[in-house]
Amino acid sequence: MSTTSSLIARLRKKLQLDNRTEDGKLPQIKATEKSIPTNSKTETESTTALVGIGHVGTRYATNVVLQFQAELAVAHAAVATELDDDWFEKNNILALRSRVTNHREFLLRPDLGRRLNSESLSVLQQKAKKNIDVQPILADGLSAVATQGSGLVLLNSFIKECEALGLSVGTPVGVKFARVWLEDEIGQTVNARVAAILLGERPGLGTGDGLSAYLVHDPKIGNTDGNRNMMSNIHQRGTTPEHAAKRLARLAQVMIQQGTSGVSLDLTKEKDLAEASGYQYREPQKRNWLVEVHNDIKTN
Amino acid sequence: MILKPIRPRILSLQKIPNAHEALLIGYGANPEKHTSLALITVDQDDSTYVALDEATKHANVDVVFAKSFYAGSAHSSGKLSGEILGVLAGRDPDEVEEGIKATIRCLEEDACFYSANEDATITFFPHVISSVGYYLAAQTGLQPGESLAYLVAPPIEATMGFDAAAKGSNAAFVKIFPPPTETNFAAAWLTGDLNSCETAAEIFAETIIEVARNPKVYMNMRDSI
Repeated sequence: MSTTSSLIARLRKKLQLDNRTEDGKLPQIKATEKSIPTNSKTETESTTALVGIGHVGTRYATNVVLQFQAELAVAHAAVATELDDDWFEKNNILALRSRVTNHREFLLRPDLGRRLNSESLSVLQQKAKKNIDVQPILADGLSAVATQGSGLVLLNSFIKECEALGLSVGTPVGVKFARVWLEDEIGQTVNARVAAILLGERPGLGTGDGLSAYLVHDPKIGNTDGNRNMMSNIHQRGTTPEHAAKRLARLAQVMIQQGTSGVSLDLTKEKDLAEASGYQYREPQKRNWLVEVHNDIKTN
Repeated sequence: MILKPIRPRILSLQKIPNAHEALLIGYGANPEKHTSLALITVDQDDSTYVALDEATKHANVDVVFAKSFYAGSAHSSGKLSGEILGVLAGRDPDEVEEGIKATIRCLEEDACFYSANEDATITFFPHVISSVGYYLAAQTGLQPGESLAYLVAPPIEATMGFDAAAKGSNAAFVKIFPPPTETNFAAAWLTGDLNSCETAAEIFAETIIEVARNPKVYMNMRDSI
């Protein structure tokens, strides 16, 4: 937009020109009609996926770029958040620590996040129930935001669902600075048949609040990802914690029945596994626009 | 009504997604670089030059062809001819489409002629571009991003206006197009900081209105001697 219209307005005032047209209105300098056609938003309002975002030439529209940057910032913020040191105690969960000593080290040294420090190991040995079916573990993982958000709901529902299936559940433990494989050491220490770690998952665009659950049969140091089964996207826009808990408990039961987990677990035998929490209607998911763009300049 | 905006009318808009190589060359495009063309005819040439330049700021397009027609839109060769044909070229259809959107937006909302007298029999173009795009930068020899006062009026009004604008502002002439141009108007480009360009355009506009009000000042003076 050039500055011509404002200088014309100035000049009109200066020359005291009669600006009225026949109908008494001031002449329009700027057209009010939108000159850019906008597409229907119906499709894009039914999903959080990045579809129907339009384009400007061969590039993204500015509002899309801004949204991307904002969502990335949400993810960065989630990774950068640290769990309060006394958070587990406050919530009556047996608090443990990995071998990691600070947050930066946690991000840079996954290996240290996979083992308990010696103090926590002895606490676990002294205080936790042994010889159980399922050992539940709550941890921060890569998103303390998610753990503090819906971690307790998932943990408590999971314990309740396991008990409802007749499984014996160990003392719930919480670990700060924990990686997935830490479940091996914890499960092995308490002699659990299945170890289940529930932790904040690596944040994606705009989702810093997702939890994942990793279950392993016969937990022991040296297990690999091939030995595990996992469920991701446990959050309000994905699988809700309540539904996830039902499925995870059933999964733990299946692991015990088949005596294995991971690649060798035969899920085809358990047709009800995916439906363990039943089917239900879910409202269409809407994308949460973090960036407001004025309609006049929105080009998609 | 004086200083009434006279909106340019877009008479035809066409797109050639994959133009013939000979046509590309004939209209100044480079087949190595350009595939698609967007064509526009409008009844105001100078608004369109500005609007085509606007396209180069919004999309990766080049203004490969833009020429005014002789004697202006009142004497055009057909109802779709107007007073200018502008051609944008780009490497794909989306790119020229995005360019032409910016051109249309500029024509609809920004660049236009204004009336200098009540019945709009005298019109002029006192336009200020705060930051020129690649097309007008190449035409004027300025750097993209510099400010430009783009001033157009009929011959005698324009001549008085150019003189007053240059004297009354810190803007400097880039080029003067004395009459007759293709459309029989006269034009001038002045540059300087944005403020100077605005001052130049404002003085220019005021002078044109003054000349339109008093077309025979000199004769009146002689009569009074």
